Amino acid sequence: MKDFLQQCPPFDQLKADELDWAISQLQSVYMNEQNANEVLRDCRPALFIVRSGVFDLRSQQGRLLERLEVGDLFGYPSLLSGRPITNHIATQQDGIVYVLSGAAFDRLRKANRDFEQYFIQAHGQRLLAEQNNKESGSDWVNQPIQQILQHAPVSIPSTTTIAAAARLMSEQQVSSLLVVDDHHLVGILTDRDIRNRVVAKGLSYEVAVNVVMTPLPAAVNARRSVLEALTTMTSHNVHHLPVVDDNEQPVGMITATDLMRIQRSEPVYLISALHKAESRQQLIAEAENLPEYLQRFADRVKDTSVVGRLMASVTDTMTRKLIQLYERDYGVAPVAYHWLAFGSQGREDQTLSSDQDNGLLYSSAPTASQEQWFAGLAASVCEGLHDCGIPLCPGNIMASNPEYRGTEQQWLARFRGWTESPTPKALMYCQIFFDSRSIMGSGRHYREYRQKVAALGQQSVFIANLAILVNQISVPLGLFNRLRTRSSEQGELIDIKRYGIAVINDIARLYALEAGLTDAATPQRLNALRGNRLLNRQDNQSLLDVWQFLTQLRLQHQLAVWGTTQAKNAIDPEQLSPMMRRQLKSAFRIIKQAQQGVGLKFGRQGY
Amino acid sequence: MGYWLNRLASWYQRRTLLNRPWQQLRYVALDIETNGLDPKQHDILAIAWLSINPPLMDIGHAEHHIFPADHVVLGQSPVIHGLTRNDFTACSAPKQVLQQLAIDLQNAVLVCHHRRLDWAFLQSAAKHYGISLKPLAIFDTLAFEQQRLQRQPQYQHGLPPALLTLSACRDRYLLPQYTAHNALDDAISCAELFLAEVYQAADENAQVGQLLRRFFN
Repeated sequence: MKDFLQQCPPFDQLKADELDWAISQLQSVYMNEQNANEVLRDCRPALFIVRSGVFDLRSQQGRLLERLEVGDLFGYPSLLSGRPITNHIATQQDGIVYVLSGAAFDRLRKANRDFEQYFIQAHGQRLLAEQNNKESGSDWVNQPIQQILQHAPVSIPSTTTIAAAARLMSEQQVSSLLVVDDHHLVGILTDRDIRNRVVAKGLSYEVAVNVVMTPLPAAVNARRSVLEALTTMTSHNVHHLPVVDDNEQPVGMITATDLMRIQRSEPVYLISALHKAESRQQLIAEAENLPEYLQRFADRVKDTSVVGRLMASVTDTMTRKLIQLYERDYGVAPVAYHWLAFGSQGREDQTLSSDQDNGLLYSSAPTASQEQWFAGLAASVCEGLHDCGIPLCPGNIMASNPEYRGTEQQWLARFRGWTESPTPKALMYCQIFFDSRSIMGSGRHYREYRQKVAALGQQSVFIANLAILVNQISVPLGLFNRLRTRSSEQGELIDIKRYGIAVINDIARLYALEAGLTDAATPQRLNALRGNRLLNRQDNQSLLDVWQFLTQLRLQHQLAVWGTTQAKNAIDPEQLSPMMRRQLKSAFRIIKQAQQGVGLKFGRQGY
Repeated sequence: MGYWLNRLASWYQRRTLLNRPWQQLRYVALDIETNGLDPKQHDILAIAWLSINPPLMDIGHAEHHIFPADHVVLGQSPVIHGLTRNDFTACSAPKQVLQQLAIDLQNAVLVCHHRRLDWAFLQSAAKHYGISLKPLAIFDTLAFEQQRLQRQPQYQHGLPPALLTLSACRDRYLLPQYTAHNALDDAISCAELFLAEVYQAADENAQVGQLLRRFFN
């Protein structure tokens, strides 16, 4: 017992006589499903130290806060704050738990400063975890736009005179108006338009606004994030962005000033610097700053999934810029098309080491000579992205490969081939191609296409085979929940992308396919799956928590090893703090359970 | 007459206690170390016990006593290999220790791993000092496991003794492995095993009497 406590932080900080005294104050309990919460209630206030067994600490709402196993402590928030214990314990495996009374705990922390410091810190972290859980997505760039909309839309019909429009702007103290006919947004009018297109041109104020407004402006859905508004504004180089609801009806306007007011960060500058680049060389030069920007940005945000999305936004911006530069030199596209992003860019969970996966969707088949224009575009963009630091795809899944340029019929035929005869290779492709987004091109055509793809993905034999594939990935947990590492030149490592993040992506994709969802990002998929009959809320939340934990861990690791030859996705668990190591184990255990879950739910009909 | 009334009263009291839900009783998990297997020839070297009020084990107040190798030589510090300074301060007169044990065993169920040996040594020592140890009952964690395993089809024709050691039993209940083996560690190990056994075998309202009848007849 003494040996155990001597190795269990913060008891390792105690002096010999303090430790002996602590031991003389200990009780021990055999904790199980039957008695756990009774013990928690009867013994409090007390510090609990897990000696063996596995216990889930859940919030009142049933959300998993921490998985407790050997060496883990709980009960201290209540000890430090005096507030009653509101969390409860779900026993996963019976075990022995030591109990140190509140009085003894107080005496120890008065006697030993390091001991006390440990708990104050741990308490802060727990609060943070609870806080994070509660308001995940409270980072400003991550908020939905509707949360920052200041006032109701100020709108006018397109037949209004300029004079009347200007009066309204002055009365309402706004710098722009939405021009709306039959509930549909047809344009916007800004004070700058009035200055440049009316006053400067000497136009009559009695002319209708539709003559001088900006018709069919870029707009953004109110449910999308502020980050997306930012990206849209910078990529279209506008300062006013109409916000619409799901029915494309205008609900407000956000301005660069609105964003300036809430922004404290560099992504604006980064994205706009990329956008302002006049040449390929400038773009590449700006892109070189990316790791540094990310580092600074990552330090500040709590929810690091934002960083993956920022990375995707940056790649999107670079892609669009490269397309524009190509169009500038070679003229506009001979047929309408969409530039598609797959894989991690599609899922918006890119990292500094993610490679490109992209393709082209034609609205109608180009002739052989028109196809030359697209071959040139694809080559130029893919190489450009590579020069900007987004490596070429080693599997050649890129628009520069003629295989991945096609019409809707061609793409659907390809998906049909994969889903109807799910060979291992086809399944691997599906894990990339079902995670798609349109980066450039106009909205509706892509959406229809994407829904047809989703419908193809709903076939149960296909899903079953994917589930079997997911189940074959061996989560690196060994006997007795030990972390299983792999030897490499750099030591004993665990690939947290391959065995962690990717598995959760796979699992979320499975449920999303079954439900016919068209979202690509894992958090968005999980969010859309809330209330799904196959995935209960708690498991859904656990998966999201674990996904965020692992992406954060990976990001920190990548920033730390950036510029070195060290593995970008593999970490050495020995280098982690005991706390992180425990969390990592819990993460893999949750993944393993979820993996078995999809095996049971979907895997039966496979062959 | 008074003697028989007392006997009757204590019998009745004992029966009442044993008919309570098992969690409401107090237990004393105990382990002894001896220098041999025969209580007539050999002595107790160390003894340790702790109270259990299910599911709590009072490990902080566990008793751990080293008996002088030669019971006669008191007052001098006997040098016994492998014992710490703390053990020496706890080195105590066997009579006082057994008196304390007698008090702790009142209205409690004694729990040990292999009662036949432990109880024989205890009775022999107690008799020597004129002390009577009267636990309500004795729960043998080894016998419990033996009974439980023998009911499983694969052990109907014999049970390897290696399966019944304290550490083998603990393994089956996924209890942690302890490296040191002194009387105190073994008493704590035995206490944990006891709780694991009963929690996993008995339903919530089981009475001690039932458990003992079910497993030790």
